[in-house]
Amino acid sequence: MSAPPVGFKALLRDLTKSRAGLTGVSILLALTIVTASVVGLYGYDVVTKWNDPFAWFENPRLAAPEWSQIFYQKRLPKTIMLRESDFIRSEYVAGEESLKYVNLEGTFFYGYDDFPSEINLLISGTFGEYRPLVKIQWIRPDGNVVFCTSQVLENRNASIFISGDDRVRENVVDFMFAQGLTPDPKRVVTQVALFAQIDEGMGDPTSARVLKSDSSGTALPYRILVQATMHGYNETISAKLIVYGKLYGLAGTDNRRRDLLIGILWGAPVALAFGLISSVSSALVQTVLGALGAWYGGWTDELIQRVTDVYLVIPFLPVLITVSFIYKLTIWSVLIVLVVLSLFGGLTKSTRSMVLQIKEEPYIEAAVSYGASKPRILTLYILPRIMPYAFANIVSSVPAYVFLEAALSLLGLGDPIVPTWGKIISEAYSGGAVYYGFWWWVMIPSVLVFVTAAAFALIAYSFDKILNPRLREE
Amino acid sequence: MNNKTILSVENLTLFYRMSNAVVRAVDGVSFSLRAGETLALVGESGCGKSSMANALIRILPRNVHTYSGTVQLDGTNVMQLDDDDFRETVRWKQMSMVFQGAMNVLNPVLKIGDQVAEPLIIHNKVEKHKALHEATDILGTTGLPDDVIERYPHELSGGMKQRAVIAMALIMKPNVVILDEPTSALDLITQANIMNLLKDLKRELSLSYIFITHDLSLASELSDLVAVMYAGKLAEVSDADHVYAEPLHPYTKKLLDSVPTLRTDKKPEFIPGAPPDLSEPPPGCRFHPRCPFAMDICKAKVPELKKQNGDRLVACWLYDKEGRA
Amino acid sequence: MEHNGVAVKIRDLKMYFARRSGLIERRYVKAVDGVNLDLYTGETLAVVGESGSGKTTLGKTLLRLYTPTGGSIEFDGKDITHKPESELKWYRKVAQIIYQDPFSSLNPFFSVYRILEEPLIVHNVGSQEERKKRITETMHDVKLEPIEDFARKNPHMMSGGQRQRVAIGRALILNPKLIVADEPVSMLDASVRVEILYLLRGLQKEHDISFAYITHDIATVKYFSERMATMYAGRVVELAGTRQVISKPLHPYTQALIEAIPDPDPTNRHRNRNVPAGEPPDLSNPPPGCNFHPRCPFAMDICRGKEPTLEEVQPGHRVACWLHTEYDKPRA
Repeated sequence: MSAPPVGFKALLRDLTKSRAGLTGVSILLALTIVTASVVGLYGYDVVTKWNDPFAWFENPRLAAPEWSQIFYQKRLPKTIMLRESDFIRSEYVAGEESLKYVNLEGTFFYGYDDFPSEINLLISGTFGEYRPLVKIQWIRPDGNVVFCTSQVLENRNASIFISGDDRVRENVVDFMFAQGLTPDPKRVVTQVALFAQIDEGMGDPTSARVLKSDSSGTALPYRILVQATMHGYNETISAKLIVYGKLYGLAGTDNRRRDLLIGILWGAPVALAFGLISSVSSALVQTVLGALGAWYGGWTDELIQRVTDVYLVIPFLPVLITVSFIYKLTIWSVLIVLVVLSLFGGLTKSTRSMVLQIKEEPYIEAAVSYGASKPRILTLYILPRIMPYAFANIVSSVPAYVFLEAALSLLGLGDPIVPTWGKIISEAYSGGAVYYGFWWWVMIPSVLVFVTAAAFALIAYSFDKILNPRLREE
Repeated sequence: MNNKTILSVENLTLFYRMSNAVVRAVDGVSFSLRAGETLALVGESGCGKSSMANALIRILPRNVHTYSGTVQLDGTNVMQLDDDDFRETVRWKQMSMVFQGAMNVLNPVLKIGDQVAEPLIIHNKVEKHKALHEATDILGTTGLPDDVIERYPHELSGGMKQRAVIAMALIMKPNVVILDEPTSALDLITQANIMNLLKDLKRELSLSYIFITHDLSLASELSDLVAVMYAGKLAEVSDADHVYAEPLHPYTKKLLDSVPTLRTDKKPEFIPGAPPDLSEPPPGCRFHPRCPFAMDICKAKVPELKKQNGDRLVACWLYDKEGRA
Repeated sequence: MEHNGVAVKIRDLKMYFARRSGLIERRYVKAVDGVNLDLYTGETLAVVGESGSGKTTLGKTLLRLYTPTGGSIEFDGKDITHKPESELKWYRKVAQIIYQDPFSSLNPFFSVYRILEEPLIVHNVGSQEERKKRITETMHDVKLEPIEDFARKNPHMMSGGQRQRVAIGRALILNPKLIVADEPVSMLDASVRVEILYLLRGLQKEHDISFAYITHDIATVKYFSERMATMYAGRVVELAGTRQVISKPLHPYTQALIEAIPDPDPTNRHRNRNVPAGEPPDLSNPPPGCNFHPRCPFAMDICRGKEPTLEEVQPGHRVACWLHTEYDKPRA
């Protein structure tokens, strides 16, 4: 027999007996658990948060995963955050009508071998029509005080982007000149100089050496001094310092400071759902159509086969690209278009040939002879026999759809909002991850796509032994 | 007719290894065949007779557990030859085989003439033109017209294909031809014609046949000697003239009784039960669960094939009085 | 011959299958080429022939699994020749089939109980309990016991003989009047064949069913048939009581068939059997006149020109052969 009757129990038994099948199932189980927990714990909030640029400002930009430290010789810095409550506050009011002086002092130790990526100071204040004057000083463990800047606070919530601010950099360069050094002002990196030992190379990330201050030793900490001059005694300010590191979390961050782990975790259910929905619906439709055509024959069969032939010629990607020019695609509309494009396909043809052979078997003719109707025979006698094959086809085509989604996102055709693995890879690519070496941004989602696809392929492989008679070893 | 013994088989054994059992398909079979004689190997499906044929011609699957015994063919013990020697000197040259389902043996994309001539070209290094000539000859001997060498298998009827396959088995002029159910797929009249052909060839070419079948009646068409096989062992080996009139082994009796006869009104009896599983044969005599004459010793000890009433061999405690004692 | 009335009347039945050969040309395989037969109530008619004789096609056409190309079929007085499927539901209840291959004639996904229940469900017979009763009855009839054990089994768990009993049970469960048994024992072990045929015979007597027993094995017909028809290349060549045909076959083809049957006689090896050479003809291009004439040892000139018709040449014994029919009588 060509399509030997195979029960689902037999399939499952085969699955659990083969190493490939078990591997695949365990990977999928892990993914499903992750999916369930992410969706359960975070809900759809993740999507809005993902697209909200302000939700991530406390994370470093383009930070590698923390576990990747083992690959680096230097100890890379993690983000150091001094919250408002971490600052030592002292306030001094001269008199009721006079100025109020607020001093905020923040202290921290820095024992890393490498420099922070950025430094940001966020100041929020309550004040009236007269804006306060803020002076910022940086006190190094070697005792040197670097004057950073003196500015008027324009808004109630302002940030002084110490590492990027030009005025601060000029002041740092001045400090360096004052030490007798001759740096090239255009090449001095503020966050490096502030943390570097004093020598000719202190402004250059490649040659500077970190001025460490270990909390274990007797070294002094780094201190930042924020002095504000305010005009009303009920006015005040508070500050928050973020010294951005180069390591973050389990999956690192991207160029918008987003914790990639969140995006990747959310990508899991999307990938699975996408892959499963598209492959299940297309496999079911194709199988039923193939069986219908083969069973009823005549015009039905001709029609279905001709439509299938046309479909087999239609290229997926160009059509999707064309559609995307006309309609804005979300992940659901991409899914719908894909399913529509997969209603007829190769499975229609192979189901048809299986049914054509099953049709000739005596038990089918016997059913006709005792009066079973054609629809009844199709559903009770024929379809159960081809369902295991359709099922195996579903499992083996999921990888293709997972890859397809990633490819679409890479081409910019995917959903603009929902974080999917493909989207992350696409953003990594356009963010220069490959060129600049932000390997985690590309590799982690890629490996996950691969692993998911492999899991399904392994399961499909274990089915193949029982469904493909030629592989059976007697 | 006192011809010399051309084939002598002693203790031939072939066991297969299955996933968790050993199938004892051929379990110590011994018999001998003289030149020009036909031995029929008769048994129900699953008794191991096809495995016997495979054991003789050494066409073995990968999962062989045991393969041993002595097969003296024209003086040489061919079991001691390695596979290459066996292929070059014995298979098809001294002993050939007509397989069951012979129609499927023919390659659908090659012409009949090429297929029949192939052994000559490969083994004897005969030049193609001459080989085809010989093929035409042997095909003619099997009753096929000359133009058949240009035909493809699908152009031939079932009977003609069977003749072509027989020709293929004869092309190297072997002494022994094993025929494994050669007529099972053929119609009655075609079968009779093929049996006639086999009778003629036997006479003209002095062939020795080992004719394997489940049909005792069909066996009587060709055989001088009948060997009845049950569950991997031989139950009885007798000359044809005696075995049909006076079967010794109870199984042989039952087989004969189950044959429907056209010309008499005798109601055929059926044998209750089923042949045993070759991976787990019953202890003692393998037939004892279905034997109407089973005694205690039958359940315990395996009877040996011993001579009775002259040259007849039976493996049954009913006759082996010494062994019983 | 006494009988209880005619269950099936087949008149000049033709069943041709179209085979496209070439772009325009259409050839027809004349599987059944003008068959006249009556099947009586409660009797078994054996239809004997080799492959290509048309016996299986005849059986299936009789059951309206094909639509006849010509001629007529009448069951119980009703003409069913060209009725569309929608009007044949009643026929599907009273006429059943048993197939040759016990391995593929049963639904591999159904249990024995389900297989037997299916015809009842299709025809909406009885309630759940009534069906259970009927199924138990039938399983008892075909000796598939213990019933509880077998009811749960799937076909692949049973032997060929057991499966065939299920197939027989399935054919019986609707209390049919006609059963076409197409080589029901050919694929079973020799030791089981007669057992099954006796079972069928017993069931026939008990339930008064008409059987068409289609086979190539003449040796079995006398265990299960009262009359026998021999078919060759789509036509019935001889028709008479079974014993009569076997003891005194008139048609050369029937004679050849009988001669070709092996029997357990050791003297067989010393002589050749006297059978005609050759094979059945190509049904898309049968020979003119009598189909058998190219192989017939007694062929005369008229055999090559004129097709003989089935005539009663002795009481109860019909033959289609110019040896026995007078051919210079003017045709009516």
